[in-house]
Amino acid sequence: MAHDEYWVAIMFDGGLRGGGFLLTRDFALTTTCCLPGAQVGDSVELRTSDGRPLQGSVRDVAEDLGLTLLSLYPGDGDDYATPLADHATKGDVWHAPYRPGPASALLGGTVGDVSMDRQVGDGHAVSVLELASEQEPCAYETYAGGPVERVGEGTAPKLVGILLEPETAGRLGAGGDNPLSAATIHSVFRVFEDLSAFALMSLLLDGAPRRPRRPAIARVDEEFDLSEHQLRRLRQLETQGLVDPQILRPYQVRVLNDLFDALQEEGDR
Amino acid sequence: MIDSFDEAVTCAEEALSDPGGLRFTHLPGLVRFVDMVTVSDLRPHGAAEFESAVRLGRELLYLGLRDEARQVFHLLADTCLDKLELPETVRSARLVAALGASLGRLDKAREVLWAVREAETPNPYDRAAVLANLAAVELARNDVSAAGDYARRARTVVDLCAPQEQLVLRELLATIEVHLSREPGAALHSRRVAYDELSASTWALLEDGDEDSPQAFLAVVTVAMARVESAVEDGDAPSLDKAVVALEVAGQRLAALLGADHPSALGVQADLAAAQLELARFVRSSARLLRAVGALESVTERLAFRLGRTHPRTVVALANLVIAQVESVRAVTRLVASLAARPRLALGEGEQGTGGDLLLLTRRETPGDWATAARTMSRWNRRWSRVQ
Repeated sequence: MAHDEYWVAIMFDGGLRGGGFLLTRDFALTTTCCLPGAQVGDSVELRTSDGRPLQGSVRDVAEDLGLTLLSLYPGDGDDYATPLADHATKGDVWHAPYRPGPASALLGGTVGDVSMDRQVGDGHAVSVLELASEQEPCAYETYAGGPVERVGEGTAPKLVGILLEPETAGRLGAGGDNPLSAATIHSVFRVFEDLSAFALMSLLLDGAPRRPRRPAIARVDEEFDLSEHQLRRLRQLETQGLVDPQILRPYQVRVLNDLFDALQEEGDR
Repeated sequence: MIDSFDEAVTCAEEALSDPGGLRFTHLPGLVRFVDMVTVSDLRPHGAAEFESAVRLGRELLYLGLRDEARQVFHLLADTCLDKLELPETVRSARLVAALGASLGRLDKAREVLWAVREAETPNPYDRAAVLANLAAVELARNDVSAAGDYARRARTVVDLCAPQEQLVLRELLATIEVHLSREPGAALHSRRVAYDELSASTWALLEDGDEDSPQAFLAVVTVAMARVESAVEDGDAPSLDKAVVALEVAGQRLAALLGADHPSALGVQADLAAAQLELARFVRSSARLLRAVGALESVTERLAFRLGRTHPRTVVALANLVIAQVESVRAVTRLVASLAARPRLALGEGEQGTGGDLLLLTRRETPGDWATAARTMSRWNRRWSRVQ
């Protein structure tokens, strides 16, 4: 029988430090509180919900949101449950499938609202699910880093967000006084560069961020348009008497050199 | 009461984005509207109304109103085939054909494109896109020769298009080329060239567009699936593993963007499950194999519900599922046989034969079937509709 729980325990020196959950077989999410002071590249000891050890490392940290992305190193033959992501809208029924301990309440309720693009200062923008809970208010910070699932009729629950630290939720300014908030999983994906389309393409092209050449005609046309635009603007500065023409010469030559390089590259092909 | 296609589109968009959590209240009105509209409703209003109708068809599909989406498509296709006198006839035909392909109505989509393929249009993008879309439809219909012919003709026009248009067309044509390069008789080096071209055009598309858009991740999925196929053919486990890692992330991102039950997200989940099955076979993990079969079962069920049992995507997923189920039986049987064999070893080799017959049977049947299914699996190019 396949195991369907996708949470992971974060261990340190044999003791439990906190929890997180698998996003895919190779990535997990947790909060910075579970790994205080952790730096990118630091090793992390994990244990799956069925007690198997799993090696990982810190892949990225979003301090402003209190979120940490972990890289995992599963064995080839090992099977792990992963959730399926989805999106949520106002009025959806949600629940948090995992709780800090057996005595803690299982949280659930309805999505009160979705606040788009909230950010602390110039930090990462995330969309926040404002969660109305059916349970009495409790120590929500102990639930932070746990997944939020949308519960639909006749379909399996789907991952729609990650519970935020009440303090972080407050700083994001969503939901007024409601400390129970989650960042939508879609916006969390956007926070971490390693989960971007470019990163995936780099992986598929064998690691290095290889930028394959563009089709020749498009490249030369673009280069030509760009050069023309730059030369016109430089000329404008000259005719308006804003800059000494002698100062502009090297810049004009540089633009022409770039254009010549592009033409030569096309010729080589 | 919905009175026009524009109103219907607004209503469908509201239901899809669901700002008030009342998505289902819009559906009866949309169903009533689709039941009432006729070809004559489209004629006097011109291209804008026509494009709204195409959008409505697509949104109805996303809302799960498959039959209504088909009704709209047939209405639009008939209008196109009646040679509707619009300056944008070619563009309209492309949009309608794209909708038809999403609905799995390949023959009718081809018919619509045929009607405009020789049209005199001053816009090279229109000409190239019709030919590229015809190539994609023919490929989806398994007519490789026609697909290759249309792709070649499209390439002769692509260079005349604006740079931005070229990017989209080149990526689509590169995808088609990857599939063509796998056909028997294709030159060996052409596969590598086609893959490089697909990677280059996808990268260019990402650099030029919104890297967080569904199109960006669908483009990544196409490259990943091409890599899965070549890795399977070459027996290259590390490459297969990388492709599956990329597919898993791209699949999650698409499900989070579009919704887990969106036809495009489901299509990617089906591709992912098929790739995971291949990887499970490579690493000989029965646990991973069983999980992948479970995932494929569940996504096939959703595809059948959302797109219908006869839709090409569903048919391919079902074919993969049947083969995967045989494979999983084989894996379990092998496991049981190996456990059973331990005490029997002392009794002699002949005692192990019971499980072996089944293994032999499935082993003989599986590899060929699997390879065919893997090729078919990604041959259905769900992204051709991007070129519209």
